[in-house]
Amino acid sequence: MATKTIQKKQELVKLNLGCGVQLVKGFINIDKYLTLEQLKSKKRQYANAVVPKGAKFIQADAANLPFANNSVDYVESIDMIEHMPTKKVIKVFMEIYRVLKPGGKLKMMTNDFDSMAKIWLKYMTKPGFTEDHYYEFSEILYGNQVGPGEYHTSPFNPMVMNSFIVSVGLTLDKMTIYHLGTSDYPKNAQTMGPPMKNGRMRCDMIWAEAHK
Amino acid sequence: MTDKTTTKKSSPVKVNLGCGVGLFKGFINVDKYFTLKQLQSKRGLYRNAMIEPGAEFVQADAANLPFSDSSVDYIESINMIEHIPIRDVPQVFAEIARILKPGGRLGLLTDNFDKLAQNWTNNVAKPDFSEHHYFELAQLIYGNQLGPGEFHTSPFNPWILNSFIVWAGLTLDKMTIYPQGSTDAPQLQTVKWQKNSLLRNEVMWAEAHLPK
Repeated sequence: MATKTIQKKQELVKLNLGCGVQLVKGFINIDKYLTLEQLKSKKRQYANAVVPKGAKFIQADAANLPFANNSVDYVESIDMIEHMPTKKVIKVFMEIYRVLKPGGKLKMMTNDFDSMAKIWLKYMTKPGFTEDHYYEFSEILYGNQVGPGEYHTSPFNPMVMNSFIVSVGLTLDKMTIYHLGTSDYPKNAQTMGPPMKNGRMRCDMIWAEAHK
Repeated sequence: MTDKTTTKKSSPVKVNLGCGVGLFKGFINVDKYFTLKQLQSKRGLYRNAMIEPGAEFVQADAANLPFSDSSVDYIESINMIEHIPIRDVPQVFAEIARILKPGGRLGLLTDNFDKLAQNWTNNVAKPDFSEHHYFELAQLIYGNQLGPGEFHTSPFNPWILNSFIVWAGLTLDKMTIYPQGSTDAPQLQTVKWQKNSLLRNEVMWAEAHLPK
């Protein structure tokens, strides 16, 4: 009987929220700013684009997710939340809470603005920085700006992130900071693309793990 | 003979670059994100909207200005440059230099990101940060986000602003810093400051000219 139950058990419903150009099989990949066609055409434009055959994609706004209450086992969101208008951030967390099953998990990565403020104050407030520094750092702060949605519009740090998580009723399990300049990254991330895995962190990153 | 020349002299050509909802008579008011009709309808939406009767308006991109070379006497640009995508900023300064007459002047006001980074570090990067501080500062960093174009996309400080001005071939005459909270403000032709209103952030007021 036990084996029968296991065989009948449905696959986990997993969301890759704000997938950008990196779609992952086994996830429902979600982004607001791209259609699947556009994604495929972007493969040439982005060196890091990954669109595996059979990967599911839905175009949707993270603040209005097309999923029923308590229907999702796992939400992973890499470098998405900083692209949300500040007044909409709370709505996104409420939506994540709504769609997660009780016991469902959220893992989220975003830039730590504390570290960006520190870098700015250390390198940019006096002459001596290079033009390349300025442009690279502006992109870390404000997004790469190569298309719609590719702008940063909200700042986070560990305390702010914790506040949003707790205020919607999620429980924070763990928060890890991956530091600027290191090539360490969260090994339990399932949707993280190759550039992050191979490159160095360009500023401190927050990796928050929570559950409903 | 001199009298005749004087009377024939046309009035100076003045451009209010990135006028937003403040249109002033005597200026050609320029903004990318509005038609005049939309602007007029926005008056109810913004307390500070001001459309002087007879004010000229041209919808245009600051990186591609519809003015001929050496045709403008004065450009005033208030809280506009931080709304330009980072990779377009040099082109905007190049356009300003192109349309100014030799001896023509630029007055440009923008936020000092140094102060924003300091405020973040002092007020938000700690466990007892207030929600009010967070949303206020997020707005100062990333813009009010009320509509298209109302997002900040580039950071500046005195060094960076000076670099762009000099790079474009303009001569910086004066840069004045007005601290956050001060009631002091530069004498501007395209902003009517409310009496006793406090500056929400430290701003830089750069005065420059195109050498003859």
